[in-house]
Amino acid sequence: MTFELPDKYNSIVVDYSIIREMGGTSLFSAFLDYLVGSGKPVYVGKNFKLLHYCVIHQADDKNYSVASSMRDFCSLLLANQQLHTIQAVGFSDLIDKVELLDSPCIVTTSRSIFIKRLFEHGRTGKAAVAILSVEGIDLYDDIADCLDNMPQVVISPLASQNKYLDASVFCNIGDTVMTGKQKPVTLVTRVSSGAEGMVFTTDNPKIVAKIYHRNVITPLRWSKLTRMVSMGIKSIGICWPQDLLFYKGIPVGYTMIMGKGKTLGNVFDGPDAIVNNFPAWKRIDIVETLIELLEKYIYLHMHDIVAGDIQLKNALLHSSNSVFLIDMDSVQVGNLPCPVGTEEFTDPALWGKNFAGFLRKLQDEDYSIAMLVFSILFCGLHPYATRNGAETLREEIIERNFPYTLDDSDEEHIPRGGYNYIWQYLPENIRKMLYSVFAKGERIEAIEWYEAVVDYKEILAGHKIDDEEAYKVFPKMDYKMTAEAVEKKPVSQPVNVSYRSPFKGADDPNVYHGGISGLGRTNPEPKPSPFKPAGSQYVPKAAGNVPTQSASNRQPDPDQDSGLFKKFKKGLFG
Amino acid sequence: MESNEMFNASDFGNSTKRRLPICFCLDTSGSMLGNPIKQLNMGLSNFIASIKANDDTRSATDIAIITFGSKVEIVMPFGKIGKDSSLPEISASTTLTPIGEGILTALELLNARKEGYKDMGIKYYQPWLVVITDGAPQGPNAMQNMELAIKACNELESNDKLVIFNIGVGNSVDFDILKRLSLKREEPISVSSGDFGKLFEFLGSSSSSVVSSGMSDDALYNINTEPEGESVDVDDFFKFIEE
Repeated sequence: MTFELPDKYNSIVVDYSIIREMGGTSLFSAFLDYLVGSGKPVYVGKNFKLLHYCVIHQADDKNYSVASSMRDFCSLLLANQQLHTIQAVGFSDLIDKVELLDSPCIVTTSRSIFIKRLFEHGRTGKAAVAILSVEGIDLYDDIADCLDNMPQVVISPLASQNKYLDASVFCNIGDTVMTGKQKPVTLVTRVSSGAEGMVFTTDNPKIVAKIYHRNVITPLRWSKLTRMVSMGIKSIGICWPQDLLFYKGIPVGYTMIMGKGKTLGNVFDGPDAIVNNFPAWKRIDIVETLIELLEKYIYLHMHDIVAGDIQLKNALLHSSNSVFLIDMDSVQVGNLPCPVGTEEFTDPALWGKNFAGFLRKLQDEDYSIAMLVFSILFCGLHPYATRNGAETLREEIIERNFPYTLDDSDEEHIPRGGYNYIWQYLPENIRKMLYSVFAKGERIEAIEWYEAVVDYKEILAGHKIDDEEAYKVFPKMDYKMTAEAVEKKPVSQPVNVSYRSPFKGADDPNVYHGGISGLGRTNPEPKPSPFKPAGSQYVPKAAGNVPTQSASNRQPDPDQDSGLFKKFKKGLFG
Repeated sequence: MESNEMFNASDFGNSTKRRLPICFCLDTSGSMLGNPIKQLNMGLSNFIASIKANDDTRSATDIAIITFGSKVEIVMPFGKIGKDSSLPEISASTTLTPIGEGILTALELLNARKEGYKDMGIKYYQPWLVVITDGAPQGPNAMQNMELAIKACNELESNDKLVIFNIGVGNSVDFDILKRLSLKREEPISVSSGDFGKLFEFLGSSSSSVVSSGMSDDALYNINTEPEGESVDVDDFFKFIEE
């Protein structure tokens, strides 16, 4: 197989989707041969490595060739001194800088984050766009040509089908249901029961089964589940549907990987909830939890998924490095919309719309991601929770009544309890980003949040601030476990020895799925990540070749061309 | 006045959840004696137990209880549910039925609670007023006070600042006057005292729908639980998917 781009393109910009989606294919090898053979300069954005972290940290079997493809890509092009970094993470910034290159051609895939953002921004530019797929290359002369002529995704007609399956079967504990591949699954104990259905443990200790109540399965839901199963996502922290389930030949539900822990909403619920659940937590644990969450949502974005209904009860927390996204059956997959959402976490521009009636954009999700960032950093607080504010939360949100100021000049409207100190101790760039979203109504991309929060973690891990208060979950406050919680968790237990308390099996008070015993689950395995060596420091700076920077005065990388990849190389091979 | 003197922060807890204040306004006139009051107590304590058992509602639901019999009594003020695990036993003994005074007191409590939320910077849902009676207003100035209560409720409800559950028990209820408490609810909710269990179950699941699924206040006035859309059998179902 050979690969070629017209000779007139002098700068080749490679989007990360090429590594994740095409890595390991013969087309990818041909592409890499072409790049090396042509000797043309190859550019990647700063988001390239960040996206790679998000993929690698999922430890998803289906990405087995991603790490080696990345290694080949970097080592071959670096050896040839062909690889350059564009110092941009967000889409607009990146495309602005691409436009400055000499005859650029952007190489990406058809449903990449890049292409989706391109359509959402609807901007023009001289850069050519090459779309790679297993069938070959589609080449567009410039961005406008791409926007005009690339096939558009339209919402599936199934979304408007007002029908539901009237299943005449009912299955319960002890029953054996069949997967789509005709494998039997026995329902063992009931774990939970909700508005849509029930969750059961099964004869496979790693797998739970969700069985829907009657009249809940719609054509949209079932075809979405079918598609989700075919995608084969097997990340440990994403409770993704693994198999469809049938009982006597009738669709009843699906299997998924079991999650554990309490919902984020129950842990991130103010000082008492946090301290009672994790008495030894430091701020770095909060930040680590947020990184875990962002990586998972970004990983989903790379699969043409918009989570849609992001909120604190849609994830389970077992420890700061063990987080599980749950209720995945509602997410938007391709052209199948997410029919649900809450007002508090949804972009106000979408309020009042029928969520099943349109496809959400990544831009819509940006708002929910910002909500998530704030809620986690502020231990469950809503950004528009305001003292002496408007009559309803709705008004506060619409008026963007954000009670925090960049110069800390007005703290009168910040809720009581020490939240003003959390704000004061945040890195300056994160304060500015939160302010721009919640006070000014701007949008920041998930990957930009990810970069900022990873930097925040480095500051904390590297102990780069002298003031010890900065390392506390609630700076300048002295919250202790409540008497009730101490009773449940006697002080004699080593609760404050290590802030990553080991998983104690089914007796662990943090286990959400009550009543499960004898499942033989052990301490979660550390992730096989080439970026996280034994120490707790985040990779690139752990390599030690970056001048000390605080998030508040970040300088552009002076060694633009090779600096990133030197670090990267160490991260990959070191 | 310095506002933090008005409210005791510890009564509000430090949960960041958006709160749903619910004030029960319960008839304890003589006609409730015996089985009805027994059923009421049982229903109420099951309700509280289910609120506490649910992670979503435990720290989000904020409950006060007022009774009206010989006089209006605040049996349980807001902010005490987590601390006292057992509910005070409600008893019936007298002949008067000062519904109006009871409701006006409830509205005062709810308003003060809202002011407290605002002062603390706590988000909240619009409050619920749950009125349960088995009769008609009785006692000195009972009718005038009932008229005042109706006016106040109508005004708050039409401005979307209050959700009203007007509930009549048994056959001696003055449904005409009870109906006037709410402009949005077509008919008062009518139950027999034997149905208290179901009634409180309904209130519990409604509060859980509000705090965990963001159900709209207007949906609380429509008790129809039939699923929307058309039910189809499995063969037709797959035809729709294939199309």
